[in-house]
Amino acid sequence: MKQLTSYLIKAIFSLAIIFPHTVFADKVTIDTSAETNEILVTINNERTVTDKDLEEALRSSPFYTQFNTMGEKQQASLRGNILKRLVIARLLSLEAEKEKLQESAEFIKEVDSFRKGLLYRYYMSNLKDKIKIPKEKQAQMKQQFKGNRDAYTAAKATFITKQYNDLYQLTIKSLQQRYHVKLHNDQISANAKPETIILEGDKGIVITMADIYTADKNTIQKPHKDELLDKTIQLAELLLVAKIADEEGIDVSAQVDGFKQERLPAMYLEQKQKKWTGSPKVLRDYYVKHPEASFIPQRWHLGMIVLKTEDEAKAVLARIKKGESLFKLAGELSIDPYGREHKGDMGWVREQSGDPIIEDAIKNLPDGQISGVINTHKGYLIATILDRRPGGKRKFISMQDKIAQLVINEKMHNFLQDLQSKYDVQWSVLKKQNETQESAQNKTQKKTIKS
Amino acid sequence: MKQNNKISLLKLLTVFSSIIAVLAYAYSHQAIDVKQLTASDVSSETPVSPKTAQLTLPERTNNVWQMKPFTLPDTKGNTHTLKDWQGKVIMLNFWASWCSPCQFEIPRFVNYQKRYAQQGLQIIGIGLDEQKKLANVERSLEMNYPTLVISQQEGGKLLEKWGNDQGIVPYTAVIATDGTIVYIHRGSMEDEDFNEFVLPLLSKK
Repeated sequence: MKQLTSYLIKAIFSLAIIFPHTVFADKVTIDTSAETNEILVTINNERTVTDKDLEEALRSSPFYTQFNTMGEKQQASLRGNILKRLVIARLLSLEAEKEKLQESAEFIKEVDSFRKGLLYRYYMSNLKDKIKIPKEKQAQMKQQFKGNRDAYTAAKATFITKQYNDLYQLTIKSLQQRYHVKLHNDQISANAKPETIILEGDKGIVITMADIYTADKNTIQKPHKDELLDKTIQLAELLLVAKIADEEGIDVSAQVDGFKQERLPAMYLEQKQKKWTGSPKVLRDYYVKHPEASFIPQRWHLGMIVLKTEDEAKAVLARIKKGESLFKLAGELSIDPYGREHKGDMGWVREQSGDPIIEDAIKNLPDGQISGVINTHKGYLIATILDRRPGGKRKFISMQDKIAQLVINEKMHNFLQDLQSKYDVQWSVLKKQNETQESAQNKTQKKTIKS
Repeated sequence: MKQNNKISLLKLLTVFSSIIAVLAYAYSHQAIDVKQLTASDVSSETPVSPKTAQLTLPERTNNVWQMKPFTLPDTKGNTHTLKDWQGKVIMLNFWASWCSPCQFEIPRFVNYQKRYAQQGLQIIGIGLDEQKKLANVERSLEMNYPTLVISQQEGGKLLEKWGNDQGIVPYTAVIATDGTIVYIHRGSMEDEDFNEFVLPLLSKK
């Protein structure tokens, strides 16, 4: 079977017009920027984080576009944070390996599924890349959409997609024949036992009910047979393509290794977090021990005028009591710029967020009444409450997720601290930076001495 | 009788306005005939047949030197007009620091500039953004061509003059040595587009 692929391509193009040339040769290529592989951090003399690892992590981060717009200092600090995260990931990997998580059925299954998905994508993308638009067809399109680049690009894409769809169907069909695939349609049912074989073929190709459906007691409606059949067909296509890709020697080991490296620490952490928050007692205890987590502050819509001296404040208070508006006077006399601008309307303020002297004075002031003169370090003020929202305490049941997150945060902090002291982490990047700074200082000193 | 007169007058007005509409339509179509505008403008040395993008610019010319010039500072504060680069093959690239596709194509442009500067290529960025952010991107992506700074609002108006009334970036105009706007590209420009529309304009090595 010297490349099933090439046979298939020939087959499909014998149905269409064959002109295996492209109009545009790629004359321009972009050199990837040269990256050093300098070691930045070493852990226990066995794991490293290199310059390249850091750049890759940075480039794949969702904020890469923003990163380029930052100043040098900000960029350096962000780089530092990412480096720390990479080091933590390595430490977590070491812990995971100690506990042999990489040998667990769950991890192996995830890696296998990732690998098969990747093989499928690579194989299909190779097929697609081999589809070329015949030279004459391309010239015809160019003529047809002269001056309309977008339409021309769309026409090319449509042509390739059509060819690809035909090629895809042909590939699957011939793979089914090659591996003698049999579908046991009558066995497909949501009520079937998980180990029931619903599709099988040569070289270990097997799909059982467990692969496409897991019964869940919370499920109200079981899936229809057509839905299960669709899933079976999709999975079968994935397995067949992954199998032929494997046989043709498509190598995805580097990408799979990369996935393992990222997934192992993440899975380890997920398991740790589950352990930390798994017991309802732990969450309940945290809720009781940390009343600040469930505290809902009282809020007041505050009106206020601030004056420089006590005498002024007393005079203003007298005017207000005689019927003048606190707000009108605040607009004219308040020494607080915000208050004067907003005519004394300070908006909504939260309990425990401002000056405790003011809070104490207004806490029990009935709505609409005017306070006495309150002496604060900002001046002498007179306040009134326009409206208020009561405070309280959130119920445990309504904030379990938040409590779980708080427990994780607390445990995680200590856990990561322990981890960093448990292993020998050598920050060569910091050492080098210090050396560079020292040598720069020495040079300056020498210059000073010479001069 | 008076009513009849009114109807005749209405008929006359309708016919008259139809004639005006037809004339205006004919005039506008004459104006957007790209060939008429471009054929005489292109030097015989230019190897591609002249064509602007699939649009007519509001100033009804496809020669940059006939357009109203603009003056803008670069990220270092030095002011420029496009005339500073007259005689070069200009790629005028509108971009912004928050735009990922813009940042994606910039390293490719840096490579074009490095490779084809000797053959007369001059890429010029027009950054619709704050000077500081643009300067940071310039440094981070090691850009080897200038970026002129314009606010997003003013940039939107400038883009309109270049046929982009939706303010979409990236947006790149290719200008031949004689000022003809040979091609306008919406979105990220690929090697294929560069090879087809820019390479033939450059002088031989």
